[in-house]
Amino acid sequence: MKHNCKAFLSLALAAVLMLSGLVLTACGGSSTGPFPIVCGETGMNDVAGVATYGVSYYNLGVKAGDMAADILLDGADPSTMAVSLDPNPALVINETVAGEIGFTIPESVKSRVSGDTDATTVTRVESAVVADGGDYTVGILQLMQHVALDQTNQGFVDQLSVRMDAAGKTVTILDENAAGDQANNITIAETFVSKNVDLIYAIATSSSQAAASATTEIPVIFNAVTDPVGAGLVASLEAPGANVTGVSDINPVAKQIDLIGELLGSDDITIGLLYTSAETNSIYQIEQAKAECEAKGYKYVEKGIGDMNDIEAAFVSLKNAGIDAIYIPTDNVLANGIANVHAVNLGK
Amino acid sequence: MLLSGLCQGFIWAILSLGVYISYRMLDFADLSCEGTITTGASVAAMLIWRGCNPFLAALLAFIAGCLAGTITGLLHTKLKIPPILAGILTMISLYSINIHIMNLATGKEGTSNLSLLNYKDQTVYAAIDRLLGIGKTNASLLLGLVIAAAVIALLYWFFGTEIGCAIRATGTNEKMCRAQGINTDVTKIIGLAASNGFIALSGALLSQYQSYTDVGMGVGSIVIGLASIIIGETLFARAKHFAVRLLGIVVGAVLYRIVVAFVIFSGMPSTDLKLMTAVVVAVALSLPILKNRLALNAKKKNAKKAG
Repeated sequence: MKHNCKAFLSLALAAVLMLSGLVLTACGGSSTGPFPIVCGETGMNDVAGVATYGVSYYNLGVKAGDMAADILLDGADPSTMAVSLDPNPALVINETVAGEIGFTIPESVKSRVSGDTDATTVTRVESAVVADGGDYTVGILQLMQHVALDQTNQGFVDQLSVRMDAAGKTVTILDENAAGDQANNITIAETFVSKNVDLIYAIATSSSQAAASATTEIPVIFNAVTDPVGAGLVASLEAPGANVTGVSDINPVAKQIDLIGELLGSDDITIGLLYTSAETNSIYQIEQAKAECEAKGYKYVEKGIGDMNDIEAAFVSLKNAGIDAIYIPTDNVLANGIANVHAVNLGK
Repeated sequence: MLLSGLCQGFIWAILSLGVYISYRMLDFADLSCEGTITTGASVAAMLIWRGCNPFLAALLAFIAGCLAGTITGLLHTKLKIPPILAGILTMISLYSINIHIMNLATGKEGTSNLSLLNYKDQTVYAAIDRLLGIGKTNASLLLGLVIAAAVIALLYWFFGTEIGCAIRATGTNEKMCRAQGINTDVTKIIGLAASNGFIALSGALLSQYQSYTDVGMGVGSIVIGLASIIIGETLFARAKHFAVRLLGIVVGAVLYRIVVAFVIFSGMPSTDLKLMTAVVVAVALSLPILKNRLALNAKKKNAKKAG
């Protein structure tokens, strides 16, 4: 009898707790997931996002190849060449994720997706790239082996070879990779300087800084740098001011924020900004996202996490803040844990 | 290429001497190194951003390194955490601390990369160049040489003092040391503080040399330090004098950087950089043994002939 009594009491307690939980959820201005997520880049979008504008690292490489050719062939001055962005980020949607979270992508967005997301491909002219004694010598300094960085390398050489071929010239490429060991950055950069190359192509922030440090005369084209001004590489995006200019891989944050408004079909929305608080690049993007939200009159809630263990707590607090959608910038920690983000979003 | 290897070699020599204190003197495999080199670089870069004198910045970086080493020492001696784990704990906590240090420069949260490209005139190298007018490369050579010599002199003197001898004794035979009434906790903490101080100092110079500090720049530094020590010890295997052994480590560090520079200069496929570096170092290290083998074979042949 006593036992039954205890069991009944605990059941009743549980019921009361659950009820109060429901009541609290209902009156806290909170929302229930899952939420449509817009990510900073397409790889993350493939796993957890509904739609985004994607930067193609190959395209960024092609852009850098053009800049290098302008300097080498046409004598363009890097100090007055503005830093480039991906000229034409492609809109991509993910109907699988949209289906899973029960979100309908509006026709107005769907209709703008072009079938081929990576339209620009350049065919390398092999004859313009010679192993030795080309008309020009270009040193490539890449921080590490990494899919995106490899693409900027490939796009650069492809486009440079096309431009060289068109001008009837040849180029010798010295391709060096620091293999993730930053001590090698400056060694490689100084080797290029001692070999007196005509141009250095540096891929990723620290490699670009090492190249900029090693020479004030040889033109340096950087790539895959999110914040070239903050990295001390250029005086301003419009007028770099010295021998260093290049291509920034910043994703079109403002366009991505606008896309959220389009997806939800309303201006009266609250966007949850989810990012890793220790990543400079993420914070840089979040600042741009906030500025765009303010410009558009969207409300926003920031949620910085330390590592992936914080992700569930972050979702709970975003839910309680009553958000309508989530924006995740290009962020290393969240990119690695993006499958987990999707699982938490689905409530699994 | 040789010059570039020399300039960087001297900077890495200071790190190697620091690693030598913990690894050889104390017999303490200290992994804090990968964090403290970045701490030194972060402190120096942050202070330069804040308008501090670069030499003072390097000195304060040294002190910051000493503090980090003290933490590892306390974790090990007071909380009885094994050496490797104590070092790892310091190393991973420094990752966050280094970001906080760099935040102080920019005033923004999450600064993981601090550029000195706009502060090129405010580095120790620029200061020496201004003073003597010898150019950046010569200035870095001169400074590297002077600091490496000073560190060797300092270590030679320090490990001759009573406390220095006690630290060496701790690494050799800790139980015997305790029996002699030496507080080995104190000697370990002092040794680790000094070790990490020098590692941070090399980080401070490195960041000014390469014009940036990056939170990931310490990755692989312990390997460079250990490789330099082993190369130095192998080449100076017969050296009995302590100062010569220390000199051997400087030579080892310089040689290691020259090997890397040579591998890069030779223009082999970029994916093979690490493999080639390892092969060249392995060949260099096996030379003494090969030499002995050859000598031994020659002796045998001579013996046969005589017999």
